[in-house]
Amino acid sequence: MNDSDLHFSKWVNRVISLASIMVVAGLICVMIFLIKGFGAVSMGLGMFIGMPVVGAGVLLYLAAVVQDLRRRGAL
Amino acid sequence: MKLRTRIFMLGLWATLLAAPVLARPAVEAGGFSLMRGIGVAACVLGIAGILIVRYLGERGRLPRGTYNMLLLLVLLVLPSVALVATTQTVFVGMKAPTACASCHVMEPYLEDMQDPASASLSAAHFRNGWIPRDQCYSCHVTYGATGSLEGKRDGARHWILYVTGTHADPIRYTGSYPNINCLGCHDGTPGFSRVLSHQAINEHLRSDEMSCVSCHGPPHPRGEAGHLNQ
Repeated sequence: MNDSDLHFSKWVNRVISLASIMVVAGLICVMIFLIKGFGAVSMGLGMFIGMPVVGAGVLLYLAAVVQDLRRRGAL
Repeated sequence: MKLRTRIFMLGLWATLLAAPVLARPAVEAGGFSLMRGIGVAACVLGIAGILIVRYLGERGRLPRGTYNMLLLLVLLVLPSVALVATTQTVFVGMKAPTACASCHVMEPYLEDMQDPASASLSAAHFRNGWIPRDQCYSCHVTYGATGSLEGKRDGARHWILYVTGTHADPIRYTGSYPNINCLGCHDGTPGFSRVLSHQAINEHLRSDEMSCVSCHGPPHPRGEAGHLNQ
């Protein structure tokens, strides 16, 4: 097993980093809404910003996983 | 104790300690629910987990297999739990009149609905117990989570107008109001069917050519907010 089999490619690493940042930012927004409850600002922050950002982060992570599996010939 | 176990234990303790503290305002407000608590816990564990796993993973302190499994947990499983719990919280919480009244422009309408002396339709429905709970949501189903696209568009527009402070005060309802919101409960009932005019215009009501509130109403106060002006 060579070194490249053990590590993610640069592209995958960057995408996972971006996904991590997006999920953390989105979860913070969602958490503010869950703690503060229904209010114009907290609801908008959680529903219109937080949830789409978390969703996009999760999709980015899945794209990185698929790309990594393809690179390794598993898909 | 293995490093993997330590990380899991750290995350578990962080969640157990942080979740009750963070959820306390919701408990005191009487709005706490199990899904809301699960959502907060998933958010706390997810945020802490991503930071810890990425930090250790980038420095090669985690075996590759463990790192991949932990990434799956913190970037897929926990965010998914948080999204499901938040969606559930919204679906349940938004039906309560207090959720509508959280925007202060709606307060006069909630106060009117709960006013025993008010002549508005909403007050009559509330006073007589025709709609025992979720009173706003029951008549404005196009506006809720399961409502029409027009309702979604209006909801987003109203939110933008409110948070930017660019709405007219008092607010005025300018959208359409499908009769199905009324007919959903009234259509086919003996009280509705025995009214001759209902029988005569039934097709017009079903096709929204005529509005129920043309004859019945007003549903809410008009004119100055908080004062019924018929």
